Amino acid sequence: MPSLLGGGEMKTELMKIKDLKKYFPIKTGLFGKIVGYVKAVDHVTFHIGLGEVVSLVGESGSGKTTIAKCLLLLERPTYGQILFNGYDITQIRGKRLKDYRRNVQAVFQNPFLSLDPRMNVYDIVSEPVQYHMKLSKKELYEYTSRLLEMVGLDQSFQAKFPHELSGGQAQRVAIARAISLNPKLVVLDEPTSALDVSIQAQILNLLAELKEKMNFSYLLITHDLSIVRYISDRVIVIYLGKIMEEGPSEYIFSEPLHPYTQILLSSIPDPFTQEVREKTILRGEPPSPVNPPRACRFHTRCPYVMDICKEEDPAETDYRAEHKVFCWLYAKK
Amino acid sequence: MNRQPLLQIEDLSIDYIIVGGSIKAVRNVSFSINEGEVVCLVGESGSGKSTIGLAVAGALPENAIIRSGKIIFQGKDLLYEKSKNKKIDNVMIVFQDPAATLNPLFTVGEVISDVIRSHLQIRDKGEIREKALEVFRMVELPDPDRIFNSYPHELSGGMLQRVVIAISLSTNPKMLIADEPTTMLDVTLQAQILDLLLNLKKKLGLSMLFITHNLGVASEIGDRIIVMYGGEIVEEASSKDLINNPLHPYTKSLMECIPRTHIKHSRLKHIPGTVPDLRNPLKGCIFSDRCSEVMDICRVVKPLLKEYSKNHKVACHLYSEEEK
Amino acid sequence: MIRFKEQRIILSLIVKKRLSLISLLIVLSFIVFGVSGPFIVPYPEDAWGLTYNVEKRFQPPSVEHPFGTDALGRDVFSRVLLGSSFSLIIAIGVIGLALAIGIPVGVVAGYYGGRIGTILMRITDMFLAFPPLLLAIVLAATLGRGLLNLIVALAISWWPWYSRLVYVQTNTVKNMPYIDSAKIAGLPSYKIMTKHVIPNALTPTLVQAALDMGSAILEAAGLSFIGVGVKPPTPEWGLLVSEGWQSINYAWWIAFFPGLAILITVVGFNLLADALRESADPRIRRTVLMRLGIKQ
Repeated sequence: MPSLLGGGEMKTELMKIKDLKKYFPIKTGLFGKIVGYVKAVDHVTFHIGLGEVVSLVGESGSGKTTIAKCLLLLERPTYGQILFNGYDITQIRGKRLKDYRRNVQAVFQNPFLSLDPRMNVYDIVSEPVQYHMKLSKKELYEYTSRLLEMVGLDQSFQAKFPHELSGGQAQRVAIARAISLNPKLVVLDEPTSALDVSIQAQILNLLAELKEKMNFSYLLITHDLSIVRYISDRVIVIYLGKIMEEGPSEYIFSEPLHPYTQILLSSIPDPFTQEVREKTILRGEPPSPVNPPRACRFHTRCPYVMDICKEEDPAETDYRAEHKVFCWLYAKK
Repeated sequence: MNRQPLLQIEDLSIDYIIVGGSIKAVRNVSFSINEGEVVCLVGESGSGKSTIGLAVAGALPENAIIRSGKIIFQGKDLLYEKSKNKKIDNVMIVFQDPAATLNPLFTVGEVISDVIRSHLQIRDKGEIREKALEVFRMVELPDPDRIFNSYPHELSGGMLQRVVIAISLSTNPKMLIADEPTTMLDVTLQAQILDLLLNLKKKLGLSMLFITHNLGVASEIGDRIIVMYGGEIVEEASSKDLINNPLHPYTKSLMECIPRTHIKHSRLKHIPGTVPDLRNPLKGCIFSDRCSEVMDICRVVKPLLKEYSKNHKVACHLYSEEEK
Repeated sequence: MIRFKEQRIILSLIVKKRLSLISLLIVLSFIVFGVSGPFIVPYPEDAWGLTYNVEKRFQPPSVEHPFGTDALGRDVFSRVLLGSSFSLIIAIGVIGLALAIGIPVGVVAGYYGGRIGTILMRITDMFLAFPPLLLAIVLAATLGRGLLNLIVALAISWWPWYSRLVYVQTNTVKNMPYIDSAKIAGLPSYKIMTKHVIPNALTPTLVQAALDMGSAILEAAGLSFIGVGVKPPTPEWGLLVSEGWQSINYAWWIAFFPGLAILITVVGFNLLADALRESADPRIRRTVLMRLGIKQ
């Protein structure tokens, strides 16, 4: 079934993340001796198609935000490749970096922290445009006004400062800034989790609308599976820096394979399925990413754990086309 | 069976004084909580739900004024009790951010010992420790001995929230006020904490005033749900009734805003406009400027909270009309 | 009960506003007097200390000499009035010079960090290890009396406080999401620094600097009072107090009026700085509002 946002047919690959690793050294003492590594992201491979919406779902400590930071080149990966239109961008600088920036933009969780408190709305939205495109003053004004109009903010907002806006309005400003350069990919890092429910719906609708108009790809980073279903074509579930399951969002929701995905889904408090839903509660705390469990990282909390899960990393199993799971339960013997 | 409710709030109005005026955060709110019952206050930011929680716990900020009303707990008026500087032992409050609740300079054990000493008048160190470990076990904390000697920063978010709940329980309260206790937690941890609170309710017969913005969470834990908007109650019903048969247009649209996981929808409904300005609340119905079913009368006359069917109250002219 | 509490809260809010208004008036008039002082003094020769008039010694305040006259028969009012010019020069000079050293050190150390940052902050710490007033006294005594030397001595004892403050602020701001947002927009590093990091990191420092103007005047007066500040007959307030000190028993006005001028100016600056702190930075204003119960 084609999704609301995607084209449905096989898309051209926009971005390919190959074997991505990001380790953060843990330093102690006066001389900064390295005593260990936080393995935030460990051998992660996935792709984002042109015009596709991919969701990266995981809880805190899963490494989802680190992956986003690597894609945005706010962090350089420890190992692995990030191919954008076929070129590895992990080491680029200078003019090529500037080109890449133009194509990959982001919207963050808390708009009051991601907008410079000393700049007004007009300056915030026009800043990237000013730097990347050579526009006259009048053209810049018209361009910026049009951007603000696209996110549903009228003229009266241009002179306002972030602290004068409501959460929803501020997030609209952040979105206007993110789409100002006509990017190919917009990374949405928990774009609605700081907002009220009724405002969350406004913002999700706006994001869907903009995507239809401008046809960029989204990488949605979130812990909230309920917004994922609404907006994405494909879902990737990660746990402690590793992918657990990846598949079209239809299947992830109707037929989740990995025990972790199943538990995540049953944990969402959904008023409409209160009576029919089977609730599985995950016991214990997530293990530390400094010393993640050997072999399958979920085995310490998995209700279906087997001996092999503690000894060997589960290999990728293609359950059906584009639906992969990393779990011994599904391994072909 | 005509029992007196454990907590009864009557006609409560609370203002915050600010430069150049006041914010009428809570206006003429009445409801009650029975023994062993979990009542959820659901609303968005600015709905006044947290202010009510703070008022019951006696923890309102300096610039808040209780304009009118009574908070009757176990037959005694809390506002009157508090003015005589009596400590309230039977109501405890748990906040959203456990890390901000605990002083980073003290171990968890020191904090809970202090609470037990001052509330239960226990002097003996061993006895205090015994009581602390007992409540730690009650909230299913693994390795209570280790936790007793830990500093807050050594514990994860989910564990910290358990610790804070344990501290609240250590005074043997009759009622727990939980102000968005799971909002900062991941979904799987949220499920854990909700499960724990439900267990405590069963085991201890604890009553709860559970404050949340999430209707899903409310329907999971609440016996009864009270929906608030702009400082007023708009609807009150049993959880089942409210979810299956919402009456107030605000409740209805709030439910339609929630993205569902079991069906695919083409567009989410959203409520246009923004939250009301509580410096000058609307004369008529507080929701009238965003309501899709607004009538002329709504802008002029404030609808009262009236019983629509058994145990289902709503404040909306759509329903008062039908009765006539 | 309720009514009373409400009025008390409103009252405290208004008093706060009144105080900031009064402080603004004090500071403004200090600046106005400081700038116009040399041109409006009734007795310019007295003010500059170029003359003396033995017949007019120790005259108590009168219409002709509202603050009385001093041991050399000079008009105290003229000398206090011109003193505001010197205090203004000292305040601006000390704070300006200290900021000129402190801000670049703090920004570079905070933004780039690493080895350069460590070295710069260690140097700062070395200066911070001395008690600031003692350092200023030693420096002033070594450099010798004089206006410029006084300013330099005070500024040297002062800048490390600014560089530490700027360092901490820069470090905080550097990790804010809006800096990530600027990087993603593709802005080059120098632009991020000048457009986003420095303005946001500097607000608290500039507020602190405004507060410190009062203290700079006070410390300069202190140094002059103990004899390591400006040279007589410069009409600097501290020196005036020191000159009038010996005759305090029979001619109180000579030391009293310059002392009062110091007091009012310092208090004015402090109150203004408090008011500024609440309104200059939108984020601070936000937290104040939030503390008042307004969810934003």
